[in-house]
Amino acid sequence: MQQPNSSVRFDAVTVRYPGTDRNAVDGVTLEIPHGSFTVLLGPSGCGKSTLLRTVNRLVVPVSGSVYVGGSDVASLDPVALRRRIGYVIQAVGLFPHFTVAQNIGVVPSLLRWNAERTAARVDELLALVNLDPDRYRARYPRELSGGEAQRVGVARAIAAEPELLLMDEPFGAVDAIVRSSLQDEISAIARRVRATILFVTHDVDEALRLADRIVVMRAGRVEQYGTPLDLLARPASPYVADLLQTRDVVRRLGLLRVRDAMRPPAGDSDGSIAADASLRDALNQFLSGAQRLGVREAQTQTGILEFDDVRRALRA
Amino acid sequence: MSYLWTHLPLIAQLTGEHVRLVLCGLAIALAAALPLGVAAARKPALETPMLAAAGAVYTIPSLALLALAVQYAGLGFWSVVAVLAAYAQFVLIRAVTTALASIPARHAEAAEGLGMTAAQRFFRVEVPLAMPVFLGGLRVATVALIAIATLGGYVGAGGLGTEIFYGLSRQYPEQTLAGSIPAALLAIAADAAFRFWERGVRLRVTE
Repeated sequence: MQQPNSSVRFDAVTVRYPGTDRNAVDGVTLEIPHGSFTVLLGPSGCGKSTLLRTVNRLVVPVSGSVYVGGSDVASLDPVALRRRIGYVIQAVGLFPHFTVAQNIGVVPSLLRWNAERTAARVDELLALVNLDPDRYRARYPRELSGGEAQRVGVARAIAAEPELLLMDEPFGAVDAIVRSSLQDEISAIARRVRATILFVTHDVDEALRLADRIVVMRAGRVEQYGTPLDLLARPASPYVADLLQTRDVVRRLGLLRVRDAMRPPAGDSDGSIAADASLRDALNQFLSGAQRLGVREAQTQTGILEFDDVRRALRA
Repeated sequence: MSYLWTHLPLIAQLTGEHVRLVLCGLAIALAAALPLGVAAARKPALETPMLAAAGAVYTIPSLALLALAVQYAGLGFWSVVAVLAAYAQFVLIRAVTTALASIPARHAEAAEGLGMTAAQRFFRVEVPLAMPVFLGGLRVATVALIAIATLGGYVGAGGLGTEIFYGLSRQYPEQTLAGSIPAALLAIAADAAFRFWERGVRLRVTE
């Protein structure tokens, strides 16, 4: 990538698999900004994985174009393109005859990094995904739990410092507790590596937890594209409202107090709210443009509240 | 069994010839079956006719095949090698196609998605992962060729078959056994060695 730009643009992308009579992806146009964490959300068969796979040319559209960093991927060498793009799949797909270190070092070795640089990078990545390098680098995939294997899968995908990371239901096959810690880790990693992340899931909670932006898909089309706040507060259709169970969410917010979600006061705020107001009231203020609310209790500011705090309260 | 013990040097020499026949037959068989099998695995349209042709050869009795080979290559070593190579095609081609089909899709997808070229995917991922199943086929082929190579005694190609056919024509069972027992032991030893190798390779690619 010449310019440090890994935005992704889909321009009227249509995919139809041979032997089927409907489009798996049907005229999707989208702009995914550089550096965002965008989740493609929808039920199985809605085309979200197919759309993702057009980005690294594992799937070729029948019409339309996909641009990565401004270049049409159809004009790029697929092998070189894929080496610049990290890719994580639900089935993990670690190579069973390679050690953990060799698996993580696959792309660096394809890019002909020297041995020391690769080894150092492997240790750095193992530490990043919370696996002790000394204990794990010489292991084989059969000696890993499901959660450990997917950590290695993530490390392998980001080994060569891709500016774009594609994740296809990466945590779908691990149990709920492990999934939750993997989600925390991927958020932390996303902030550190500052790559653009495209993340496919059918899990609404996962989407709300991780995304800056959510693309809701249905039958190959984009139903709604917006921030989690947009989707919760202004679902564009009954389908989106049902999928996100927005009525439930709003009702739950009505039962939760600002006091229980706020953090200690720090920095500026652009609005204020009472500590015993409901989070639904807070949501209304965020909807009208507030970013950061000062929380008042008996005339003094006792805390601050951001939309992320509301999101966190929903998960608790 | 006194014949066997008094003719040990001869039996050793014939065993050596026998192994040479089998190894030559296998080498030529592999040179044909590996590319054919990979082509069949890549293009399913090729697989059926290819296996049908190799299967037809496989059903011809090996003695009849040898008679045919002698028409073209004359008596001796190369006729037998040609029969062995032809006979092994069916088992080996099918071993290659089933071995490649046994690789889980996730490994192929990961290899492609990470940016391996077709050649890198084949040699770094597909070949190692296909090995256990392929070795099973190679084992079956080798054991069969050890048995069929005894026909070499019939057409002057040497090997343990020499003792078997002499013993039969002279109605001297001890001489027949001096050929057939080492041939059987050779087959058993090859089978055991391949199973050992297979197990090692399988362990390496287990998830």
